[in-house]
Amino acid sequence: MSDSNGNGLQSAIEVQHLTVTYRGRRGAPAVLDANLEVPRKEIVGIVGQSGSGKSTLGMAVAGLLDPRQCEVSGTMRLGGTSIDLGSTENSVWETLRGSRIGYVFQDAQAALNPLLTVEQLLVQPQRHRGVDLSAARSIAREMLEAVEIPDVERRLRQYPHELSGGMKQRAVIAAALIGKPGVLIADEPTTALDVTLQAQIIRLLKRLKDEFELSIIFISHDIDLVADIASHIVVMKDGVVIEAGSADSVVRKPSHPYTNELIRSIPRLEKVGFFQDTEFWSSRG
Amino acid sequence: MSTSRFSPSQRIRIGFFVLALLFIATGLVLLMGSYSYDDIGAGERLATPSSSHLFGVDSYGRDYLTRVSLGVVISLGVGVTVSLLSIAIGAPIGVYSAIRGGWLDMSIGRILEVLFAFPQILLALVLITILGSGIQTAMVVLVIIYIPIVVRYVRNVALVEAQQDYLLSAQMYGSPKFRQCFVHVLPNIQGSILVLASSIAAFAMIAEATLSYLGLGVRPPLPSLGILLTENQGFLSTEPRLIFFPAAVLVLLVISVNQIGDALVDKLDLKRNPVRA
Amino acid sequence: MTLRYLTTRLLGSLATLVVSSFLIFAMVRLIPGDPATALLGRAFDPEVAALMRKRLGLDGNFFIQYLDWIRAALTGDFGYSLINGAKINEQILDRFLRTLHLMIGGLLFGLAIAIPLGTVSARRRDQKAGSFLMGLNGLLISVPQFITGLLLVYIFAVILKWLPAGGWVDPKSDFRRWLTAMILPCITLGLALSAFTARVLRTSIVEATVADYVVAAKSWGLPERKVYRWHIYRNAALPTLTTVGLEIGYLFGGSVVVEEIFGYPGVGQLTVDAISGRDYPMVQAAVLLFAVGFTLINLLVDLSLFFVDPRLRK
Repeated sequence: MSDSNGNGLQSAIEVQHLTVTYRGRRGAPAVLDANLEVPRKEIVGIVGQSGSGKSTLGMAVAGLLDPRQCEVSGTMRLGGTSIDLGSTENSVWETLRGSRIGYVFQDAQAALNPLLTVEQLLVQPQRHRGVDLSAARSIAREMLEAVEIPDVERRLRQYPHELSGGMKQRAVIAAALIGKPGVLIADEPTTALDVTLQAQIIRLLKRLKDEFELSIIFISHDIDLVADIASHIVVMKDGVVIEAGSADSVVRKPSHPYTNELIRSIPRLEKVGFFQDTEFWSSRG
Repeated sequence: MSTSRFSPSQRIRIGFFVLALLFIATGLVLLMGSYSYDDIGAGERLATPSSSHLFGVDSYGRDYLTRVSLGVVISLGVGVTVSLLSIAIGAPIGVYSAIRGGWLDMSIGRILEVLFAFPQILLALVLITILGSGIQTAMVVLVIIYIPIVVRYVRNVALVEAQQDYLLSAQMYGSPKFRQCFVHVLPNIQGSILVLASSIAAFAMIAEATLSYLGLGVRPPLPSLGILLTENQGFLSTEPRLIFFPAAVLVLLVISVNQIGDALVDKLDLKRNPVRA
Repeated sequence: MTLRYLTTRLLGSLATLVVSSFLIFAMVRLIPGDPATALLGRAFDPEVAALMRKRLGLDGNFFIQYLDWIRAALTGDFGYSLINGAKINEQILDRFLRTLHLMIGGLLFGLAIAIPLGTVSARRRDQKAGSFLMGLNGLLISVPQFITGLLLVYIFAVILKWLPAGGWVDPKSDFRRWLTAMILPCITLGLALSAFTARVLRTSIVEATVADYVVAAKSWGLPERKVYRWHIYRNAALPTLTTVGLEIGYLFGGSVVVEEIFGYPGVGQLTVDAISGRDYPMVQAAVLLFAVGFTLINLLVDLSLFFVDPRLRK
């Protein structure tokens, strides 16, 4: 894959032949021989229905799958180094997670430990990397400001249940980025939010991408949303990558019938009439 | 949560098998044995087990096998009776309260809260002081103590069940609350009630043995397993079998009942919660 | 917010105490027949009977008698025992302290057993050690407390002869003997507590291990060890603490049985004897003390939970 200009730049992250099977489960693997490339400072969207394997792919890349439940095989190239995705060596993954690869969770409420304050949650990963307490605190503060949370001082001292849905999601993004990773995997970060918040988070992610020079893998079931934010799209069905290409080409001229279905299933509003100064819109399936 | 190598159904069958075995064995002893439980002339005092006295003789000269057997029957009897009674009374209350909702449910909820603020032991002690000791009073006391537990459990289960769609649609059709309870909800929570029944039976057996052990339950010479333990504790160093037999049998009873309950939980869960990823 | 919660809880406890004391006092009135007649039996004498009824608080207005009783109780005066005629509070207080020792010992042993049992069986749940410990746990729960007590006496006192089979000596006169005599009763008491607690601890740890916030913490780069310390154990401690709090009430009931097994002269033994002997004033006093202790401990547990779980504060 090359970037939107057709140049073959060195990609931020390359995934090759990723296969994930759930142990003890017969049938098709969750992900079968997936290949993925994310050019630097670009957003690649992974689209598919529930059960298509897109989340599993994301988690496999971040090394978050439970080796007791899944068997992973495949390799990943991250900025020059090659990593075995099936490796169960904790030490390998611990150097990657947070500092090279960040992960944004779909369910922000569940991702935040209810017993710890926002500050504690943001400071801990840093302390482990040897950052001293006061430096860690100020970085936490900066990070919350970067994700556009107002009234930062107060929020730092609060517990997750005291934050609103949108703020929780921002906090999760802040935590994901606190280690200054180069790659961010966002797993349906907006699915649990209402439409206005969705737009805000999307804008935020675009801004953060530029500010922190991130390469993002954006996972979603909503092809419309993905087409808006991503420069490249990968379509998955039943664990297999069935289509990949630039966002434009995938949406305008999909080569796979399934992709076609995904696009056609988006309800679009169309102006159908005009009656006494009021416009009437109807959705077209 | 069980990692046993037997399947739940097998475990249930094993549990019942053991109980049945005990029941039949003790039944045989009591019906066909030649001794009475309080016959102090049955044999030489503290005689060790022999062909005519399989468990030996106790310090009063009574055949021990007969006494232990009657103890088993008493334990099983109390356990089953208390369990049945407390569920027969408590379950309908719990279900009706959950379905009816409104202020009735709230009041019952409050009452339950208050009841559970008191330790069971206290209530048992107070009731026994008032009503005296004896097997019937013991059963009454236990039933009274377990009814709130049954009500709370059944109410919780029924509340969850009441959220199911089929019940909501029944309500929409204007089905009377009473009918809803018994036709819709009750059959579907049968499993949970069975599990509850086994737990209560186990608790009741232990409680009865404990009360008798303290001298507050069954009255001697009736040989509840608890009484057997307490009257022979002094012989622990000289004739340990006098303690061993009733203790072993009681443990066997309780474990079997508990196993049945646990296996039921596993068996039902398998139906409702398929493997999570 | 905190103040409101505190006051609500305090009032709740107070209400519970009032209702309990009411019921305890009313207990004597509810006895079928005439207790005085039953107690005197053949020694029945109408004057003595009248005196006895007066002592039992059976004559006169119920509420006035109740208030008298409560007022006296608050000053520590519980009247006289029907069995030995001595003042009740003299007999009760010492025993109550001894029972308290027993309960504290039981709690400590219980936790000392439950925490390793629960933790190890959770962390090694995929290995044989884990299933073995779980099985052990299940066995512990099934076996009635007094049977484990008897078993322990048999093994350690009769066969091995390492520890005495019970009794009590004044620690001031023979500390070592007091300590050794306390061991078996405390372990017995603690075992019952630990079985349940260990199971809850194991379940909580396992639940926390697969919780989303743990995966999140890992994704931020936290190593296994830190994840356990900060996220898994911390969060598993909460439901476990709640369970321990509930179990503490059980310690009261358990102590009654344990005291009987080991001949430990605590307030439990006193109560059982009083009930059998129909020493009603003594029973009332003892049960009232139980109720007070129980409510106080529950209150303390609730308050400590309030401080530990930030979600309760909102």
